[in-house]
Amino acid sequence: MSGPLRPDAPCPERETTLRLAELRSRDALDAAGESLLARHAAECPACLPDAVAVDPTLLFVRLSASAEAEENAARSTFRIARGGHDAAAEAETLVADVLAAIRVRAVEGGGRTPAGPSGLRPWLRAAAVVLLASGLAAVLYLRKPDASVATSPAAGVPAAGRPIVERLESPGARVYQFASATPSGPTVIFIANPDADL
Amino acid sequence: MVDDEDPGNVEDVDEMRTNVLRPVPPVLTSFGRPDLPESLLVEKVREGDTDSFAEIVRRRTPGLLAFLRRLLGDAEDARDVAQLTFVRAWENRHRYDAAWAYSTWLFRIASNLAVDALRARRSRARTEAENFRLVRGGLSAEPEGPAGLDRQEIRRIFEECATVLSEKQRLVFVLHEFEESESREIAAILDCRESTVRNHLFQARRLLRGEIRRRYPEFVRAAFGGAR
Repeated sequence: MSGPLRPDAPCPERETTLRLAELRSRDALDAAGESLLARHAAECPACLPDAVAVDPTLLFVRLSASAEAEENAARSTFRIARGGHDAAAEAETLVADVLAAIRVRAVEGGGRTPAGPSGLRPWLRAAAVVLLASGLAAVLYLRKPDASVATSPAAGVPAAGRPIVERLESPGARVYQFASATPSGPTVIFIANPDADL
Repeated sequence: MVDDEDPGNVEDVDEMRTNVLRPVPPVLTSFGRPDLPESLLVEKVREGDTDSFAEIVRRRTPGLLAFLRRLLGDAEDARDVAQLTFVRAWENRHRYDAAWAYSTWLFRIASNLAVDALRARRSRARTEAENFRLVRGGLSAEPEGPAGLDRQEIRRIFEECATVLSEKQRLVFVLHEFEESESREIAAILDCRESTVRNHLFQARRLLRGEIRRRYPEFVRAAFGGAR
């Protein structure tokens, strides 16, 4: 696709541009068509307003990397040379700053240690193991025949249940106790506490 | 993509500004290694060679800075995030997976950091965009067509309209539309599926279309005399 011969002349590619813009506005344009449309819309001042009217996001085609590069290339060689120098100087400054920051962190001794297999993960694993062990211990403790059972005045506890040895300061808590199959069998108790901070 | 294990997550970009302002010991020397291919440089970086890392920073800075400027819309923020990206890349050099291009690894870190930066300034940016619209509306008696706008003005309009996007949608839109990356590359950077990328892009475009139509109806009417 090429642009108009004169700035005020209608673009010979206008119909194609509008058709592609219409497809794009319905997200029905393939990658090649999108690329073609974006390139032409960025270059053709005659087609851009029409294309933007169909798909307003085409307003941003001139922000693309290739459009920016082409606009830069159209500038004078002096400005290009100066721009290249600026970019190189900018990179050098960043290199120095990055190396300085790395050095500072190294000297500070692990203000930011790598969060890899030897960093954060083992701590997370250890914490998970501790939590799991605590939970298991609590379950085993509760399942012991003479274990203390936390309860509340809520309904659902059989009258012949275990003695209350601990108060549960939670008005909404419910304690469910299931009778065991045999007298010496384990007793299963559920405590449902909506206010529990887990 | 933004998870606790990813090296890109940071608490605050300002921390970097603080660090670089402190008095520091003599900076590590960097003589440059312009003749080495990047794969070799990366190998040396993994062994702890700072000269090789300096060369990678030198090579990758222009592209990374350009991407971050487009994404963040602010040169200073872009520079801070770029600097932090390289520091993170160095600190996590042992975690780099050679199955991916090194640039993808850098862009992934940079994207995470940029998303954090965007979140941090989200409310401020929204307020500024509203103010800009008011000022612009007050000054411009004759609305200009899209072709008459310079790049800086278009950039401002993008910043203004992009406040309706989530950070992920903005990131995908910038990578696809401005960096001209393919869905496959974006999926690698975001560590997600291509279908997710396409969905983010679809939503971003839909939201932006609506926002441009709402804020700049003159652009939509320009070609068809109000028919649209």
